[in-house]
Amino acid sequence: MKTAFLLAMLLPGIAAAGPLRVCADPTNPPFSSRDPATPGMYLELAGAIGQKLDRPVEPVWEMTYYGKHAVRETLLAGKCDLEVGLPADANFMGGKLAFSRPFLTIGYAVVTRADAPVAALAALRGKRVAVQLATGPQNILAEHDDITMVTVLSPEEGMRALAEGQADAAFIWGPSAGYMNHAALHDIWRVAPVAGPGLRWKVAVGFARGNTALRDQVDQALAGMGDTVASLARKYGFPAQAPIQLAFGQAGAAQPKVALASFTRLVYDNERGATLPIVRVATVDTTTDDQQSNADYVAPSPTAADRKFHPSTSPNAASEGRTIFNGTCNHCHGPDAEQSVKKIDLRLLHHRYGGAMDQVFHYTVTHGRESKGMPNWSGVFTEGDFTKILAFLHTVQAE
Amino acid sequence: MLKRAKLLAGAAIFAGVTGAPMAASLAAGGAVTHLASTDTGWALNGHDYANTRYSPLSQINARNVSHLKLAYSLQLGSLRSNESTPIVVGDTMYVSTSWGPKYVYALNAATGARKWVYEPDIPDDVLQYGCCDVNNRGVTYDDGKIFVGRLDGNLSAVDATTGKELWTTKVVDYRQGSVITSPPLVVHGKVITGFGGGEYGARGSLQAYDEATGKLVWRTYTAPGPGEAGNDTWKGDSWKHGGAAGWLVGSYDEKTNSVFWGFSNPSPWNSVVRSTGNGDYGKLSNLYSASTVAFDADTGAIKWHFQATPEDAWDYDGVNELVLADLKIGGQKVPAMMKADRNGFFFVLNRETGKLLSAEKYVPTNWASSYDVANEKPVGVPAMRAGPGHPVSGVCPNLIGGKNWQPMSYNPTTGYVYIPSNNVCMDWSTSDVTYKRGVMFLGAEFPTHPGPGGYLGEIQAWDPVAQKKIWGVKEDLPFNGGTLTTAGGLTFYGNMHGEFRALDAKTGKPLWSTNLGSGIGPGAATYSVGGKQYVAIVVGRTASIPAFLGADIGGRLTAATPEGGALFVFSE
Repeated sequence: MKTAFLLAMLLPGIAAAGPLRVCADPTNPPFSSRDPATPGMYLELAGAIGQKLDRPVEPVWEMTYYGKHAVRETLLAGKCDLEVGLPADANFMGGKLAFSRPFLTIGYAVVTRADAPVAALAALRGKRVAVQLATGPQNILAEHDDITMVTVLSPEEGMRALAEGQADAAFIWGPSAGYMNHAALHDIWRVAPVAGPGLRWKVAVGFARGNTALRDQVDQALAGMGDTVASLARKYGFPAQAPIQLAFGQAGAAQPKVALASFTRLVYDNERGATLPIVRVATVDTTTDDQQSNADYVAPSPTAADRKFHPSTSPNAASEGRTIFNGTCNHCHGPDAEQSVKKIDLRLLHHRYGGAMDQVFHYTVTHGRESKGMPNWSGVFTEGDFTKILAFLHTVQAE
Repeated sequence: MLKRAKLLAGAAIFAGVTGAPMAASLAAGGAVTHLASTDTGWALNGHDYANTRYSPLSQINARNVSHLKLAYSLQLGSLRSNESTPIVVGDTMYVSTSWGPKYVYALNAATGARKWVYEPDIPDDVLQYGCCDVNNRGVTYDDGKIFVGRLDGNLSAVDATTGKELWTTKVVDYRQGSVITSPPLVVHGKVITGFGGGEYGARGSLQAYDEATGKLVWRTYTAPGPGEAGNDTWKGDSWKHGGAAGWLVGSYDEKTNSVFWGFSNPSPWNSVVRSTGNGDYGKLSNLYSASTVAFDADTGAIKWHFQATPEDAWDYDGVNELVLADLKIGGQKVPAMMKADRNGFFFVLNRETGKLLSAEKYVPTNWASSYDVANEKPVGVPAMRAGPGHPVSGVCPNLIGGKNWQPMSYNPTTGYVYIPSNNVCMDWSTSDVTYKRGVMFLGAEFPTHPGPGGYLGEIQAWDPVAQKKIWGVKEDLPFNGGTLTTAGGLTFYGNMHGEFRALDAKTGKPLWSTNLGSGIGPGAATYSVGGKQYVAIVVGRTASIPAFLGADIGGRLTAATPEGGALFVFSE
């Protein structure tokens, strides 16, 4: 009795650590499944985390038809210790959750015949496109009367519409489409992720708010698990191509030229999580990162529009700009522009460019830096949006 | 007449068992559009086909109600979202519980002794599919059978004497988020039911099943497909998952053989997908969402419709019950229909023609400035229309509506309707993320605010002819229980603190109150057995709705009482 007590005192971590209880949907491949042959990306990742923490993993099955409802009834009710794959958004569940670092970015994808890739969304004009009800893609396509929507309820139904010829393309949930394509359809379709607001999310491991001790342990474990995440994503067919751009542009206008490079490699960044796509653009130049200096980048030949461009001064501009930023730009530049990779740390804009910051910003967002993976955002955002984003960036500058 | 004959035949069975005077009680199920003065039972969920929730019983009245005491109680064996109004046929009470229902009990209505218990076989995975908790609002009696709508999308018939299941028919696939939570309406041997799921991709329809066999007799889609009238009110193929589901109760008018039902909001919430997105909807009003529809009871053919919220953008679900009464308007007796709509307007229509007679705001309402009665259209306020990239703030009412499912009642003696109303407003934006089976969505976010005036709910006595409030009892929480009104000059209701009260129907003066331990949603029933009047109420608050109301208001709702599930029956 006494010995046991002493041991518990000496080794509180071991004495306290029972199995790691992981909430997971038993019927939801490629994310999680009761089938031991294909446990799913999230459950396998949980297993790997458990190994690092030296704790056996015990699935607690939950049905996630209504995701928030499921989180409330299980994770927040103390029935499990963590849930893998929740949206890494502080507002999700109204602050009741704590999150690990994001480990992956996932989102919607355009599915087309492999021999007829779509380089930009504008290529969907005149086509019948399967789209899931109440999703970002449906909201986008609804604004384009020249695209015929074939509304479906699930990614599975979308793939079926495609296979049965009821649709020419599908704009559906990428991981599910990628998994079906890879696991069952011999990769006959091309599954291309799409960038844009409401289309891509970072996912993390979620915990009840009070459980930051476990969160910190998991964070530490995840830090060295980039390869594991990458290989699991590959195993389950998550789309790995560069996201194509959302810009529809004007009829007849040149569309962003983004070649759909085949999968090359996955990167994992401790701060940003694994970002599956390595951008391969059609106009790729041969300059390497090392050769091109980032420290003294100055926008070449700024235009008159760049010179007279300034941040919006309206009272809500910074907050609205932050919302836009966190909906899109954060995918590379970090939430709230917090980014430890200096080259893309926008908190250093003023430090680098001083008084030219505003015009460099405007030139860059309206021209892009394709070789760096920075798209041209003209046509996606309005000039008004840009003034708000810049107003936000002014609030986070550090010298 | 056919209906009455069947009910009397059913009565004979019970009379044999109990020896109670049955014929008089069962008249309740007869010509129920009339407010039969001989009525002593509570034959339907809303008392009668007109959904009046008015009982002509007056043994319990304003003079003696303060002496009410508990006759018996029953633990329902199922916690939370107990929203059932018991029905009483002869001397038997039938009451259902939440979670499926988990149980339907047949009780001796005078003593509470159990006669049988029916436990439908509800699959475990059903519980994830109900949008708004595991509620059940009651069962329906006809011809010796009890009809049960189920969370798993099934409709069952049970022998009223034995509790044995007679048939079960699949109405809708619950795995698409469609559940049945309300009792069906039985007319001419047809069991008529809708289902829920308007937000989650259902295509609404009303369906009628043969009460003897469970076979489908008719089905009318309320999000019309190609070739059906109204299909051109939807953009593209949006009708396929357009919502317009009829998940609450129907009413019936014998004279015109019309069944009336209200239908939910359209789906999805982004109106650009199904209409113009800017309120200038033209043809694209999304019929028959947010509408009241009259059907031929025998064929399901649509006779007329009235759409209260065209191109809805606020989740102003149109399901609220239709209460039928003949009102004296402008010196004329008018066959009227009344609805306290989610959208904040109290509508009076001619139930035979569908013509709108009047519409006034009964709660603080600002999405529309007024209602154009002649053209039967709201006068919208463009700044209050939410959409992607166009968040709005301070819209009233919020999405639970000026009134939610909790039923109102109509007292022909006072001429007033007793409305359990809400006074809650909201913002609406799209900055949230939500997910469903691993798929993430841009959700709609709708933080709530208290409405003006420092109260969140109010039981109102409303004059439907003058279209004005006569009196109101304010509540500090929304989502209070339905009402019952009687010839004894009383109006009963329960609130979210678990207080069950009797008010003077004329003045609103509180006459009696007792705390039953959990929040109260349904309306009470009253009936007479063995010459004695009883008042029955089911308690057990909702657990999911508070999540829609945010941390403050929602938190107060759940903090007010524990979850519960019990039936209480009072008498003198």
